[in-house]
This record gives sequence, structure tokens and C-alpha cells, in this order.
Amino acid sequence: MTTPTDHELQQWIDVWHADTGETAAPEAIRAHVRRRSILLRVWIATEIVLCLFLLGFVVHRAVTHPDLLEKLAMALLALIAASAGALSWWNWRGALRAAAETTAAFLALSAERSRRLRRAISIGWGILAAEILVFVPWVWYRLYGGLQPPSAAAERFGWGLLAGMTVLAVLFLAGLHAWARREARLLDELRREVEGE
Amino acid sequence: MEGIIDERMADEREARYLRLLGEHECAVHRLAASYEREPARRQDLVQEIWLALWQALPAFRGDCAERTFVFRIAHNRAVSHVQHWRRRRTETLDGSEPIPAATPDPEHAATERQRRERLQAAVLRLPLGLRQAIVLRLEGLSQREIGDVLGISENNVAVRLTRARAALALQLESSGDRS
Repeated sequence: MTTPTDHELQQWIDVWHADTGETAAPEAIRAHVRRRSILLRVWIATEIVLCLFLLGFVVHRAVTHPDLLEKLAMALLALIAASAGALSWWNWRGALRAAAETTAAFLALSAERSRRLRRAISIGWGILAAEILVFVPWVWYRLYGGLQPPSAAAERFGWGLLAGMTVLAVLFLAGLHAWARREARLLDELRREVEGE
Repeated sequence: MEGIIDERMADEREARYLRLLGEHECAVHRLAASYEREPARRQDLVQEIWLALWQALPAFRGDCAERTFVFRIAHNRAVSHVQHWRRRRTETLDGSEPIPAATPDPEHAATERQRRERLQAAVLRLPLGLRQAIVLRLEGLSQREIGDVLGISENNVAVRLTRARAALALQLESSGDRS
């Protein structure tokens, strides 16, 4: 016989509530929360400052540089960066709200975040392609646009740096793509388990 | 003037947070124990829940009971915790641990502790959906309140509770804690 009675449920409730130990002091929890909140703010502020600084540098170069092609390349780079920011805002809008929803809504929101992450990766491939389209002529122009032919070292550095950065970006995006797919599968398993499917 | 208002709001948030911490600390600890059996990670989970609560508090508009609000955040954070550790393929909580066998103990307190540990171990072995429902029931929430936390109908809650209670009874019976 395995059907529990209400009396037994009440016994379980009593036993369950007997566990009051192992709790941390409220001050310790409060200190942890304060520390993490500060860290989060510092992290976000640092990201914003860094992005604004880099964007400012590119825009400044686009405005003040005497060479017209350099101006054009920097302006295109600034445009790509601004587009990436705008696309990122569009992609994540409404999906990063606090998690005080019901469990069902929270899981739906998590699935939506997972879907948007995969969309962000697709956008990332597009941005990478656009950057390559700007940087290849730019490097070519920097190397071969002058009167003197470039040194072998300069050529190796120019093309090597571009190739290295491209490979790094490809590896990052491919890794993120694999991670996002695994995450989506895991989330789906979790949702099925929570919903009792 | 604006600064004074901001300061007052921050004070109110802090006071409300500390009150919720005092009122629900034990419940959050028990809830964390139903998701994570490893003590250090359980303590991390408790702290993550309180951090999530602190972050969500300004958005609380009183559209549900405070207890419901706390349990929603706690369960959601705990589900993320499960996801996080499963991603690392670390067995954290999902019932691989056997339920401690019931052994006669002359000291009442020790027996109570044994019963509690067996109950917690049995709860840990339940699938997530059943586990969430029974933990909230053990915390004393009504079916309607459980539905509010989990976002499911009362009928669905009733079905899950019936299944969870039967599974729990079976496990406790097999570990010798039920006559």
C-alpha cells in the first residue's frame, strides 16, 4: 500500500519544517548580495565605457584623418559597430527582465532567450562578414596604397593579424553556436521534466 | 529632493528585503536542499536566490502574495542551478544518492534527524515537476498558491501532488520509514 493519508502528509510537513539549521547569518547573505550587486554594476559600467571609448576612437579617426579612404574605412567600421549595438538591443529587448515570473513563464522566457542567443550568433556571422569586407580592402590599401612597396614583415603582420583575428572570431562564434545548441537541448529536457512529459 | 526620495526608496527596499530574509530564510534553505544535496553548492544556491530576490524586489508591485513572489524566484533560480550543473555533467541532486535506511535510534532528536534526512533524500529523487509541487505543499502552500508559483492550473497541481505523494510514500516505504 503506497497511497499516503492526510495524516501522513501532515507528519511529513512537521518533519520537513523541523529543518531550520545550516542557515547563514542575514548579515552574511546581505554582504554577499551587496558585493555581487557592486560587481555587476562595475562590470556593466566597464563594458559601456570600453565600448564608448572604442567607438569614440573610430569616429574621431573617421572625422579627423586627412586620408579620404582611411576616413571611409573608419566610418564604415563605426557604422558596423553602431549597427551591431542596435541589432543587439533589438534582439534582446524584453528578454532580460527579472525572473520573478511563474516557473512555467520562466521556462518559456529561458527558451526565448536561448532562441535569441542563436539569432544573435547568426547576426554575429553577418557582422563578421561585414568587417572582413571592410578590413580586407583597408589592409590592402594600407599595405599597397603608398608609393613604396611594403616590407615582407609589414605584409606578414597586416595579413597575419587579419587572418588571426578572423580565425579567432570564427572559433568563438562556432564554439558559441555549439554551446547554444547544447543549452537549448538541455533546456528542453528540463522543461519536459518540469512539465512531467 | 529627488535624492531624498531615492534614498528613502533604497531604505524601504533594504528594510523589505531584510524582513523577507528573516521570514523566509528557513524555507529558502529547505527549498535549496530539495534541489542540491552538496552542502557548499547548496549554500551557493541559497545566496544566488537571495541575490535574485534583491534584484527583483524593485519590480514587485504586489500582484501576488510576498510568499508567492519569494517562492517563484527561489524555484526559478533553483531550476537555473540544475541547468548549470547538468551542463557540466555533474551529478548534483537527481536521486543517485540512496535514501538512508531507517535504523532504530534511542535518542529522539537523532531519530527526528534521520526521518528528516530520509524525507529530503526521497524528495530529491522525485522528477522536477513533482518535486516542485510537493516541496511547496510541504512548505504549507495551498493548491491555488502552488499553481500561482508554478504557473499551472489547480487541477494540474492536484495531479502532480497525488503522483508526488504516492512516489514519496513508495520510496519511504522501501527505505523502512513507513508502516
